[in-house]
Amino acid sequence: MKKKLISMFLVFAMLCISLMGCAKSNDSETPTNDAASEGTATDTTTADADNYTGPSGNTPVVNGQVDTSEFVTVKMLVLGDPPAGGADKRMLEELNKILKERVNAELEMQWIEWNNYATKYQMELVSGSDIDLIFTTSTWLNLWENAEKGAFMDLTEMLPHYAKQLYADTTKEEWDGCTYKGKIVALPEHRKWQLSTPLFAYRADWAKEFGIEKIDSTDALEQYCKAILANKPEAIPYNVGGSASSNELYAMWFRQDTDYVLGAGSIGMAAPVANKSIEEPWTSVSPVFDDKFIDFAVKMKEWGDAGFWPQDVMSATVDTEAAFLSGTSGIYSMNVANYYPLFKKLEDENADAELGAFFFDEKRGFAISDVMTQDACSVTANAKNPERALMIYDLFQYDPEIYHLTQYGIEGEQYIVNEAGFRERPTDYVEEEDAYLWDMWSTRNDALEIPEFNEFQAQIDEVNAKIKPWTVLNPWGSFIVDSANWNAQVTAINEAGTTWLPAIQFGKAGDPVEAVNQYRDALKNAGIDEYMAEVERQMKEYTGN
Amino acid sequence: MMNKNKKKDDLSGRIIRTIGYVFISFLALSCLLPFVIMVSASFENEKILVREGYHLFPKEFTMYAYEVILGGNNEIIGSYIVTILLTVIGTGLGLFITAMTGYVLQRPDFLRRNKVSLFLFFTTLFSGGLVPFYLLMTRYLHLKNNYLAILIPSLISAWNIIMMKNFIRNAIPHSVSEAANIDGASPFVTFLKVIIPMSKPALATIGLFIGLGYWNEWYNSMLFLDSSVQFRPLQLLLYNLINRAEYLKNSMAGKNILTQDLPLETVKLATAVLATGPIILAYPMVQKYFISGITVGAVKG
Repeated sequence: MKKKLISMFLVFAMLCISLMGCAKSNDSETPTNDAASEGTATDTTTADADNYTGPSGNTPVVNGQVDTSEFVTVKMLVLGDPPAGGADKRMLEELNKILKERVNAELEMQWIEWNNYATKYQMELVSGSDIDLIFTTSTWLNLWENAEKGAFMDLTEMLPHYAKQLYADTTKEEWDGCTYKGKIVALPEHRKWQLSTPLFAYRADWAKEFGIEKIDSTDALEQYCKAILANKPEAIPYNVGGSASSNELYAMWFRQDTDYVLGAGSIGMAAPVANKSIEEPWTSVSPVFDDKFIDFAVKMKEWGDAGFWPQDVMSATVDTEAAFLSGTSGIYSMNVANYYPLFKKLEDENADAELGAFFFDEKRGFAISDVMTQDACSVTANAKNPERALMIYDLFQYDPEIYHLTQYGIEGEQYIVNEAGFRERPTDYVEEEDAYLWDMWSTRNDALEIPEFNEFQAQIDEVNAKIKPWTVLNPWGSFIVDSANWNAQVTAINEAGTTWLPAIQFGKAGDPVEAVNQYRDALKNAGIDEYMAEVERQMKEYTGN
Repeated sequence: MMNKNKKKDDLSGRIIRTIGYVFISFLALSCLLPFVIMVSASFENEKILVREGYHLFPKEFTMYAYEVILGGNNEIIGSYIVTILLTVIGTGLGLFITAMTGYVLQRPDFLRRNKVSLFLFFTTLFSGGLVPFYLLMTRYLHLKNNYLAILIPSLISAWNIIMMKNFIRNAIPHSVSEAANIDGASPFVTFLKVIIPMSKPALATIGLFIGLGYWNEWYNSMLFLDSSVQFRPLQLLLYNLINRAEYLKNSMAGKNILTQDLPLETVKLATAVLATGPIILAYPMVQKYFISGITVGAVKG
């Protein structure tokens, strides 16, 4: 009996200890919240146009002048593997000389390497880190979830005082994209234009040979592929190996034949859940249940049977880029960012070849831009020097001298500007020693860029001139679907998608109509209807109607 | 009659043995083959590897991959030294503590031994989880970017203590300790001079486990040693090298990175060879203890 009592006591004691462990971790989160609310409290009490104390108090604004008499060290954390040669440290030395002079502060940089970055990043935040500037993104680092937990400081009051240029240069809509529950929690990447739009690269010289002027539709593509089968025995029209992430033909189809757009609520590469159209982004629909999807499946079966891609596409591994460059593949699926360097690559491999692009979005004439917080920077709730951090960040993005130093490294060591005004590598540049990276991507600013010389600049400009007008602001802003209670459905829907879509889009799922029906059943069993209803409910809640 | 029976036994015995040997050889081969292929591919020309796949012997022998890894910077050599030091110190210290704990816990004259055991073994079932562990290490012990963060957590494992305890209880009768005591040995001298020499098989086995643990350690290094530490344990270095490509390919993070910076296939394989190399040498050394040690843990435990 006594023995039993003692062991029960021990078990109890240990339970207590393990629970204490949990309590501890909660404790450590509380100060995070406290600091945040304290911060806002001071903000509101002392805010007026010319006088402002700021959350830390070490950089007050007195009569419109920022007082930087106290020297501080600002900590910044970015993601990425630091350059092996230590060029980042040499840059930092230079930078700190300037920062000391300009804002009486120095910068300390930490890197989170790519391997397991998500775990390490989250650990840094939950352990109550006092990093001032921290890289974040709503697409792959849970910006909004962390904002919900109070990990980031509210910057709304501070911005006009400490990040004057950034504040003046950012529109209301752009700030809205960085706002969570009425608080600006992130600094956007908004002065670097980039558009992500999918395309098939093709051989324009071949197309001309076949009498096709340009490929801008599915029909023209079909014609081109048939001509390759007839005239180019060494090439396969689309020499590719399928994988669970193959979705390029599906992406082509819904951009060419439907009004659907991908955005909030979308799941996985197979994207069986989409939004109705750019005019009605707040309606969740599934393109798979559209009648046109059957036509698509039938068409793809036809293409597959005709030999547009290898018969063993589902099991083969093919380096499509190499095949395209060497002329054994007629098309190559990619995003526009990878299209720019292709001019040079193709020239190196085959000087007679000519490059063409079939942009899926051309027909509809729009492409949705990345969210404002695709790359972003936040200030952690425990930050010791948020004011000075914002001042430095402002310089990163808007001061030409600091911009060039941070983006490109030290002039003469990492880059030189030649007579024509182009940036190039110095002659004594050694990759191992001098390689340099700046991974706070959100500070990129097109206005301050020194372009690198590119012999294909004319072609690239032509592409950009074509696609730039397509840019439309991301209509979902800071809305994200909270799928915490829907993980099972999301996983199952994604599973169904990766099982069926690649096989259907390559016409390797047997009878296409039958396959589409099975895909639909699989999605229904996975709970797609309930999931879409939930997405719409959350959208209604967000838009307030 | 007898004779005939014996002959029959012989025949069936031989068949079974043959099948057994064939089966075991097959298993051994299937373990060996990937390793051989890995070694051979690490000496292969990159282009041939990508184009034609793996061969049993390299078609075009080259040391290029090794030159890439070893030449230029001394990072991998520093990592080797760190890992070897951690393994040697960790194994030595870990064995000593494990053996002492195991010995004490099995002594029948240690009155509260079962309760203390329970306290230890409870941790095999329940733990605080990752976040409290991380907080403890970084906020309270301040071991971020400190090699101790790698050394300390792996020193004692409840599982090794169970094995040690059971081994000593079954293989060394308590009367041995008592006899030493009567001859005037203090408990600590008894442990050092009598118990340790007698538990060599268990020490070899557990030492190998601990040693392998330290050699293969990467998770704690990943959590606690960031890029400001110049030489990080070997496995983390390799893990970084090999998995960077995978992480970037599978995540949106890759958007800002150029793919040509990612490592070559042969380099990955050569790193794997370098990582496994030295620890394989540890096996023959402890082999003779290992077999008896493992049975001790398995059957009697």
